[in-house]
Amino acid sequence: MTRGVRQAPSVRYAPTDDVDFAIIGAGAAGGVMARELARSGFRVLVLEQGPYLHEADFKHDELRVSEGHQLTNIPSLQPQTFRKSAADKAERRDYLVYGRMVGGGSVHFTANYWRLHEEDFVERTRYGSVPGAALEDWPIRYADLEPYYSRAEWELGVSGIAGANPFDPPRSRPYPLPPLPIKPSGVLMEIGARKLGWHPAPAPLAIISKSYRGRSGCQHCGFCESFGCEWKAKSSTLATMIPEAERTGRCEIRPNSYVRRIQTDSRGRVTGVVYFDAQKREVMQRAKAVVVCANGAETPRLLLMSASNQFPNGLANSSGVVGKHLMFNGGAFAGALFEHEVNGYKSVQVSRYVQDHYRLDPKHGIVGGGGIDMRFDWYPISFAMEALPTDAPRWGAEFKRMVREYFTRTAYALAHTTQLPQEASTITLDPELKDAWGLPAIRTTFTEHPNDMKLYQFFLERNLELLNAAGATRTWAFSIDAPWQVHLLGTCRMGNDPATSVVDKFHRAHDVPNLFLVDGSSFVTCGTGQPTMTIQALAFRAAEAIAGFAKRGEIPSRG
Amino acid sequence: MSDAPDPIRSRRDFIAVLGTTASAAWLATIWRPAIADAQDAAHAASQGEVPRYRALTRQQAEDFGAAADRIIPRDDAPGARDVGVVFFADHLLASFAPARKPAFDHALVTLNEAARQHAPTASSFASLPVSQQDETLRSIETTDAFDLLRTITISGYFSHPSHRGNRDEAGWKAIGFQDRMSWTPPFGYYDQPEVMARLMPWRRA
Repeated sequence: MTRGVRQAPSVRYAPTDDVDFAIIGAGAAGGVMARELARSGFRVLVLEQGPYLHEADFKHDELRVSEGHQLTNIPSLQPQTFRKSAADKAERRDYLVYGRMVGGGSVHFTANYWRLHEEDFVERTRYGSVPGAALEDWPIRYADLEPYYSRAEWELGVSGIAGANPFDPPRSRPYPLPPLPIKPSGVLMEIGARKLGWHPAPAPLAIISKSYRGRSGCQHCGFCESFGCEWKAKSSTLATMIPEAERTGRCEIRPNSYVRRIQTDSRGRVTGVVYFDAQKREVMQRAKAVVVCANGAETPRLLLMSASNQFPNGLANSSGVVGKHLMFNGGAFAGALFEHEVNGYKSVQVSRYVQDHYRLDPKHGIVGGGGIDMRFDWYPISFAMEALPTDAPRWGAEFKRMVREYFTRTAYALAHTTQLPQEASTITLDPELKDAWGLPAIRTTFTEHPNDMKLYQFFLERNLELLNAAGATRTWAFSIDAPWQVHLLGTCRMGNDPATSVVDKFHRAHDVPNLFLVDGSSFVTCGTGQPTMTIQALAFRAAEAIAGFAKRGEIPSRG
Repeated sequence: MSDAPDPIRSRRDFIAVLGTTASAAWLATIWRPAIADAQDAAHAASQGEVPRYRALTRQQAEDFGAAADRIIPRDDAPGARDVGVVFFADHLLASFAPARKPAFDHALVTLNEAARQHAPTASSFASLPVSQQDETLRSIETTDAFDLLRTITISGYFSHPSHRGNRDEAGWKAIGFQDRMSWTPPFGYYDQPEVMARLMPWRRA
């Protein structure tokens, strides 16, 4: 095994090669698609706008990932705009953060790996029509996805204990790996949650607790969230799926390849993609079918940029819902000081969580629910910048004293919640601002539904209750206004009706038979918490279906 | 803390844990630049050389350094200037984030304008006594200018030493952070076996 050493690509395709599948985006979903389709015998080309980094490029260097945007979108090259509603003029603001490298967000994510529950797929049935919300049931049910949740856990490597969380949905297999060790914050969480009658459980994480499939187990260095794992213990697609895809000899990963357009022919079928290579030269790559795995912002943006005479409102957008129903998951965040050393900076960020409020009692009059974990996801710079109580001094002797006292003795409660889909929350093309390639910038239009704000407030109170029950000597709440967002969901929702959805239940675009969209954009509702596992389970399921279609000649390509 | 097995402390231990699968070239790419940078900075400091800045003027270095020392003053741990925050700012603006230089220049103009409001005859912020420096900073603490000075100060105090601040990891030592490639439980007080046995009786069941 040659750890961290860049290998020559196993295969290279020419732009004129008509590959079976061009996959756009090598992230959480794209990595799975690449491996599964290549293993099924297809010729696969993955175009990734970001670089191909390896473990050697990952360092415990906070500045490089924050100021340097080493692993994420780069605002100076890809500026964004934001507005609260369509009535406002959008202003320059880098509101969305997403992975921009081979492996995508699965490289830098915290690795919380939650399944959705049965009721997440049928919220319209459960709640009926909620004013202002575009609530719909998914065209699939939990039972349809369960085999692929289990596959994701085993193929990628996930640590946890089946049955430890009494609210966990039914599962066909146990976790492949035992949970990571309990951290001080996990001990405090168990104490606090049990005092409140809740049911804390080891947090399922896509980080391997022991050696697994040629990778060594977590060494607890503590640099998971926002960082790439030098040990390959985080089960990113970079560490798992991508090398396996390349080893088939049929998959080329082509980094620094920024797709600007999906090409279609006169019959409305995809013929390939046009992308900028590393030197900003335009290249036309032929493909028999295209799978877009570019994330909930870049996928609708690319469809909108691919408008043509035949598809004047954007590719695959006869429904008009491309880019609509943007969701992020909501949340609430609170901090606490404890008497003794917590040292949250060591090991993974999260070791315990609760889902007692996953579906709120109707008496609260709030749709949805959430889960709560206790964590420490600060590093020295970010801690000093933002982690102290909101009324603490921001500079000077007392500020310094508090940073020194608090760094090793704090823990935080983070709730991850429902956020309702709304037609007016959108990704669109900014009419004026361009990126460094001359392409229209992402414009986000977003305001929370009133229900969301009630939910955040409810969970903020639960967070404080938990921290106090855990024995905190002091607690404080953070603002529930998010300064930026991750978890980009819902913008090309799946459904059975081509008039109200973009893709069918196997992720095929209703309007274009050889175009598939597989990523967070497919979500119909955002679910109650952490989306990455569902994105990857959907990808395993879609890959199996798409491989079947291709083998049976059910993906018509150019005429 | 308890007497847990000794965690990895050095590059050599790190290699040992990786075992024979590690490529020496890979390790070199991880560590060499950081070591070289840290050695450069330490060398310059030990020689007492007159600092040469690439992005900052001498006056900017003095004013920023004075402000940084009020944002993170010396106590029984070093202050901002002690750990090289001015060198960090120069390095940052010269190579890592040159796009921030105009905002930085503007912040120092704002700082000096505020200083003259407090002491009309003052030649610069740096020339003020610390009590007036504090008053000056307080008068601008809600501005973007102050935010930038604060951000750069904090970043320089706590960033990886390869960026020339946080000299000898003094910023990290001040808060009890250690950068290692590996830790083993217990990580803190509450997860020690005897403490867990006391606080979490249900675990025994």
